[in-house]
Amino acid sequence: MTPSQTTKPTSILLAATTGGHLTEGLKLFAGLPGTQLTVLSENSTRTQSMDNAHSYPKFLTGSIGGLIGGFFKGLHVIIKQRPDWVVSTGAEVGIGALIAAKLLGARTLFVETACRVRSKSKSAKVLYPLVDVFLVQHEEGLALFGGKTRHIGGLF
Amino acid sequence: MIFVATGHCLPFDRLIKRVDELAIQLDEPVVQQTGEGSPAVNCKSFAYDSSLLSHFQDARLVISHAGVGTTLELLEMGKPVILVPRQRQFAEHYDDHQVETAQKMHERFGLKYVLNVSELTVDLLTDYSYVAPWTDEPLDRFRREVISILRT
Repeated sequence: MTPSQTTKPTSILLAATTGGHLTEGLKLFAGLPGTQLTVLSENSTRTQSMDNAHSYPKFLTGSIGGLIGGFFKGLHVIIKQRPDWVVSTGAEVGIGALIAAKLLGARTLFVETACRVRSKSKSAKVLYPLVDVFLVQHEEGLALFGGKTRHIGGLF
Repeated sequence: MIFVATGHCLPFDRLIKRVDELAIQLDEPVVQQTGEGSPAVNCKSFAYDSSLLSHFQDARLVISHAGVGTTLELLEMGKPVILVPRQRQFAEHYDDHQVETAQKMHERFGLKYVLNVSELTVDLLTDYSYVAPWTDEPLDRFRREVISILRT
């Protein structure tokens, strides 16, 4: 075999709250060449139809359920699969999973949602100090956060 | 057909009611996806569907909340769209990020947005046909560059 055929795909766990955040995450990360993606989110028609999704029931309304579920389910999936990267586009599911990832020593990447142009999401405020790579989808975002912020394009 | 997409989470009755008032004066069908809002009276409406794509495809014009996922679908489809961002002052969302999104879409793609639903008129809805010039370049760039980050 040639070296390229023996290269192991980069494994990515995408953790995102169901709905728009998951839609963004899939647009940005699904099907990247040389990578293998699994998804962590809450139960929904979409996640339950995906082969590569780990999902859990929404057991509390509001943000707390997403955060707790993302954290504990994130711990479980990260310990079991040992992904090369844990990435997120928010919201609370992503916060919980990225905190779990940091505790377990996994590499972490957060992308601020494309709907935030000149303001910060709650996820971004919490995760900026924690993650290894912090990306914004609009150039205006570079002025909102600190020096490790990068802009490499995005949905729009 | 004119289709209205209000998304989910909180009611968006301000938009639903305004389009409902206009529906009886328009010369084409109007269909509204009302989510958590009140049903329409003067036109067909439904709360949710598993996907809105077929409704978007059938519509001549879409009037939509300024959610990122919906806006992206409509831009990719090349559909005329007027954005009506949900606003915190009317208890339609927890903050005004949809206003930011709509402003950015206007700057970037020339998409029309209205903050006051009284700007939606029979003449506007009848005549509006602008299609934004969509490009995949920012997304292609992100996907190219994020691979090099992830593979370090």
